[in-house]
Amino acid sequence: MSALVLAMLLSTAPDAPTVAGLSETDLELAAVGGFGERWSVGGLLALNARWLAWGRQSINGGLEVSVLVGYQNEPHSFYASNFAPSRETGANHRTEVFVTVGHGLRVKRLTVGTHFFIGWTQLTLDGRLQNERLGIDRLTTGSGSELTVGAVLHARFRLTDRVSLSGRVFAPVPNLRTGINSYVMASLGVSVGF
Amino acid sequence: MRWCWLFVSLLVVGCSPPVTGRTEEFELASERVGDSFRLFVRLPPDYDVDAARRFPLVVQLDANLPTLEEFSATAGQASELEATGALSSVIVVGVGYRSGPEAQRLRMRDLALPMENEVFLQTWRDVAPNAAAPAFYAFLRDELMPELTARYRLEGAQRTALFGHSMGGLFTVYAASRHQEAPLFSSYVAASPSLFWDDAQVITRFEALPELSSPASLFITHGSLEGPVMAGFVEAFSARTRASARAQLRFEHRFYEVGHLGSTTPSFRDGLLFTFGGAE
Repeated sequence: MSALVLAMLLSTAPDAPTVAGLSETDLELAAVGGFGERWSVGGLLALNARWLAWGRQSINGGLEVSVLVGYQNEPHSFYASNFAPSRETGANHRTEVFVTVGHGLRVKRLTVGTHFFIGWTQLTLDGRLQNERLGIDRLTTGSGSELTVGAVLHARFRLTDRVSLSGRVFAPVPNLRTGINSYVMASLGVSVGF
Repeated sequence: MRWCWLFVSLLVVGCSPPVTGRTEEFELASERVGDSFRLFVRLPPDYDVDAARRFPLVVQLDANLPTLEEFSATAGQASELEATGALSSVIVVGVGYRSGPEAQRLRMRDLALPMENEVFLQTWRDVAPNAAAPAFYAFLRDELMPELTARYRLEGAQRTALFGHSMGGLFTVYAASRHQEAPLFSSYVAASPSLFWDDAQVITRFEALPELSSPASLFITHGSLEGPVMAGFVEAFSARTRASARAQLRFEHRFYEVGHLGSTTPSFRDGLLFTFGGAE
């Protein structure tokens, strides 16, 4: 398996760009997992663009820009057992809009981008607590939002001329006071060039 | 490692106001608990001006818990509020441990109530195997308060407050539920208390408290971004306490747009004002 991956990695990328300019655009759909005050799962949709800046076909670098829209769900059921026999249900909902800008180094089929990102995160709480002994049955709602900045590591592996496997690790500057953002997020998905 | 904790603390509490006055630390061995505690003391700038003057006292739990550093935060808030004239001079004493990592482990011994609910016990047995809040309460009553009374010029129990967050908040409500015994404190400030502990037995315990024979105040808070367990139990506790209408109890419940870790700073700031607000 690892030999196959290595062979693919070292093989020449199909139709790799060789001229400067707006060299690539693609649309990416990915699954996301986050870890913060709670675990979260969700997805993101990203529009990616890459301008070739230097190098040749086998190794080159470029300016990369991505616009991302994401959603993550934090089910309270993930932690409900901690509070048993009380019951905790519902979920937190986190929506994000980020812009990332950075440099992407491409070697053969593999591209590794190191980006900064800035954007907005909205957290909406929607949960319920039930405690039979005390007769408690309370709905809890709340919301908060904040500017989010941080760093992203973005790796892509070209499977075909147009299709790439894409993974990102986001490291937002955490605001532990609010817990609106995850401390770290990771995504894995597929991007299709157009 | 210390710098790492300082960085994380900065992210949580931001820049705490500088602490004015005189600070000192000492260790106190406890027979009740069978361990030693590190005490952090902040004396106000005017403590040494008049040798006959006595001062109110704030006892802060989790004094040196990593990330929150609650003694520094509360002492800084007190310093700032005193300087603006919003707060009369107070002594702040933080009850902590020899080191930060030790604090994370031992607070579950001292602040957690012994568990009775079998379902709850199964989940938390390994986290708090020696939960012994009553022994810690005995330490405060029989060992710490006499030591502080001997060392510093205190006004006494009628001007003494207990501040705690999370498990410290749970212990604070527990201490309030023992107010009738021989009041150690006149005020209780519980930030995001872990009322869920042991199927919320502490709520039942507090409700069983009869009409108080001496005045007390209870200030309880939660963060609106904490989720349904914290908010739900604090809101339910608040509704029940208001409904009980005890004449001797001054009660207030507030919430802030923060998560669990972020509730300390606003809670303790407002708690200081609620408890000792108004300069002399």
